[in-house]
Amino acid sequence: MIPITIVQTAFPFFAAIIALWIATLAMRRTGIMWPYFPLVLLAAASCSVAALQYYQLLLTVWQALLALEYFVAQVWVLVVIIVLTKKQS
Amino acid sequence: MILYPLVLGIEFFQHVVVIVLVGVTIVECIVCWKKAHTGDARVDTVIQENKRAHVLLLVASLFLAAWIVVEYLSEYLGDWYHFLVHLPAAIVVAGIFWYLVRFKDLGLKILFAVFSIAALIQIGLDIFEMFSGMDGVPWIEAVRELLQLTSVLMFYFFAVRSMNLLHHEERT
Repeated sequence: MIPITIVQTAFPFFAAIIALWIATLAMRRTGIMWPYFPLVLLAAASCSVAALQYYQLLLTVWQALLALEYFVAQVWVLVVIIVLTKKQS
Repeated sequence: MILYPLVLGIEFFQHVVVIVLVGVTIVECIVCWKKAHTGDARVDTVIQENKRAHVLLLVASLFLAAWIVVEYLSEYLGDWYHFLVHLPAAIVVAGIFWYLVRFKDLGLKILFAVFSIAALIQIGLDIFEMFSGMDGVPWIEAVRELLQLTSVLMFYFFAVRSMNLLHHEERT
């Protein structure tokens, strides 16, 4: 059994802040928003990790929520790669 | 209750978004202030032209942060919270949005529309909860958190897009 600690809830929270911070700076710097939405989604997934850790619900069916968020983020990354590659060529 | 993890996760995400938004807005204002004193003519004119928009963005972001913090007072203010705090706050933020929508950008208009609709539904939900006596019903809390997350995210994207429009005007 994984013990509930402050760390397990707080670290994903800080990770989400860092991910969203980087995404925002990138959006601000490049002036384009859509390629950085996967980072926003990762921040959301990280918050889900924090909440699930708090209630000790990882390794239950709730983890499907995380899987969904990561899946959408990965598909979005694929779309970004394809679109940017087509623009390059 | 089964919806509690969802509510907690959404609350975490709201706080993350607001923390990042306030941080980025403050950094933006410091950068603009510094650039205004270095004598870069182009940047200087851009800032001079859009000074009011920048100040309004900062004010709106800090206001939203204060709103999220004051949410915790809702327990003490009770039902009056919605009339004393929530409704005025939503109206002020929407008013600032209304000023910034003058950029004639379709994305900003869509974000503004979604924010307004989410805020209106949330206020309606609060009034419904107040008069129906269904205080603390889990699905109402979950729906309210979802609506609030929508408002906060729309505000975040609105602020970032406004900053982009202010600084990358050639891209629009």
